[in-house]
Amino acid sequence: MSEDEPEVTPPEPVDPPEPVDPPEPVDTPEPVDTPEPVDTIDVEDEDDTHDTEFVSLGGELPWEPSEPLKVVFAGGKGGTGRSLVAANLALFLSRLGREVVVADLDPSGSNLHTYLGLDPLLPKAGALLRAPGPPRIETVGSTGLRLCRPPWPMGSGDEPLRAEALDAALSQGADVVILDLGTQADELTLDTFLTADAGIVVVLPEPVAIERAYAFLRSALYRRLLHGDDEPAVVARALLAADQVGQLDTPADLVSALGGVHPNAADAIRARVLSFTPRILINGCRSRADREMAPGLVSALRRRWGINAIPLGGIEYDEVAWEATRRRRAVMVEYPACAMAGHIERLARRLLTTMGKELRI
Amino acid sequence: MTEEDEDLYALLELDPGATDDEIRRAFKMLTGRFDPGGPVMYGLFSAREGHRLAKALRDAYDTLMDPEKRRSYDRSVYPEGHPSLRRADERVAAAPPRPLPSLPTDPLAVLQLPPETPLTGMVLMRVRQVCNLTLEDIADRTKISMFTLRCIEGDAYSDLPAAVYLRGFVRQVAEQLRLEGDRAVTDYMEAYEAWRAEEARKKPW
Repeated sequence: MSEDEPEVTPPEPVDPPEPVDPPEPVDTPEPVDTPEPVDTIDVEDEDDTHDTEFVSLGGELPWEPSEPLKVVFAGGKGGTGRSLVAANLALFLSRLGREVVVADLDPSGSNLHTYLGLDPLLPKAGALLRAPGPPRIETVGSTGLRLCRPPWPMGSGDEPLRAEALDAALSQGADVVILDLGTQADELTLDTFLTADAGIVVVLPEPVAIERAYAFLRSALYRRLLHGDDEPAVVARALLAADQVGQLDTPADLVSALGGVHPNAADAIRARVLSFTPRILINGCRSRADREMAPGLVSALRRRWGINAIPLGGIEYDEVAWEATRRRRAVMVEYPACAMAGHIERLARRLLTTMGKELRI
Repeated sequence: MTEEDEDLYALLELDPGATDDEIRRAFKMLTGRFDPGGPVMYGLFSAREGHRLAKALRDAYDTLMDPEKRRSYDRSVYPEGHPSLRRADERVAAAPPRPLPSLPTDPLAVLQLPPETPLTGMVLMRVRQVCNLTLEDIADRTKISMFTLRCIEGDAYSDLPAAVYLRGFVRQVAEQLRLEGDRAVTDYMEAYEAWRAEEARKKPW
């Protein structure tokens, strides 16, 4: 567990800012795939004076892209700021000159577009009766960031649309793909979380959010240990099914019970426990205790389940973020020097470090 | 594992040989963190487990802060004396270090990291965890101090020794983890030098 605080670079660009021309209005989404215009009404924005130039940091993500780096936000309670953080992290990374796609895959609709200053999709009633179109991919103003979302706002039972949007996001040839999967612990969410380069759970420093985060991580952990037709999973499932009294309370209990009957399976399951490394991010910190909560959760998770969760630190509560959201503007674009922008940069550095990458600006 | 069979030092997340002050600080930090009514425990431990952990922390603290009790505890657990308290040469003579657990041949693959991942301190730490090795194991074998090892793993560049020593330390740590020493040194020193250059830029005087 790393307790060190990476130094926060001031938000001012180190290199001379490269003027982005021509400054496109932030609010004009440019659908790459042609949507059916008859089926959606784009909301007109009366106020066109807010266009903010998106300044490139001229930095680099110094790895050679082969596969897109997959960063997944999932789980936890609703309203923890998961989408807000995902949107702004995506904006920050795209500012470094790499291709970034952020995808709205929350089955109940995560409103990433709101945090990015784009318009909602307002399908006419008739559109819902026809076959859905392809996922929509739009460029966010002059930033180069692309938002991928299902062709209409998600309700329940839209799993195929979600899966399609996931495939679309991953096949855009981006360097980094940021996926917002919502809070549910369904199979698509868990499997995407488990196969990500980094799976992040955003937690508020309060009991309800913490309990929801633990519940999601429990589902993810046991899916990692028990799902599939491979021998260790099959043996472990059989052992758990036979455990009527609930003796095998923790993964450690399971591993030690497996050790007696099937040492190879025990080793495999132990390796799966140790290499489960969800990232924990605390949002809305207001006190020192809040800021120290990420290492606390990580240490409790290690004690309880033996997993090696990784603390990503905290993001301070920031009025500016609230103000930006109310005005449907992206925090990183509108207020690049605010406290939250600094925290997002620190988060990006930490996150990349935990994936074996390093951020140089 | 329940608290009853856990090593008291491990319970307090300390190294054997911790000073009274370290014990006091660890106890204060952990009782705050694992307060049975606090948010961190909620939804992960039952109230009963929470109270049991709180009591175990209290008992461990009482035992380790009482010189008499601590001596007899240490003697019962480490009849040969603390590995970390004995001098290095005595340690080698007294007992060979515990045999290495079987290490994965390709720890980066276990971590699902690409093979060309730069070997920074964070990566070294994660590899060590996957290898099921403690920092103490590494300290035992390399004779590098726990403090330096922690700084290496934490990429706490400002607290690290001079580059000429650091290179050797990083090589030793990597080799204990069956990583290529040369590569680890190159990767680590690159990040270190980048930090140095950045520091120099900030403070040109």
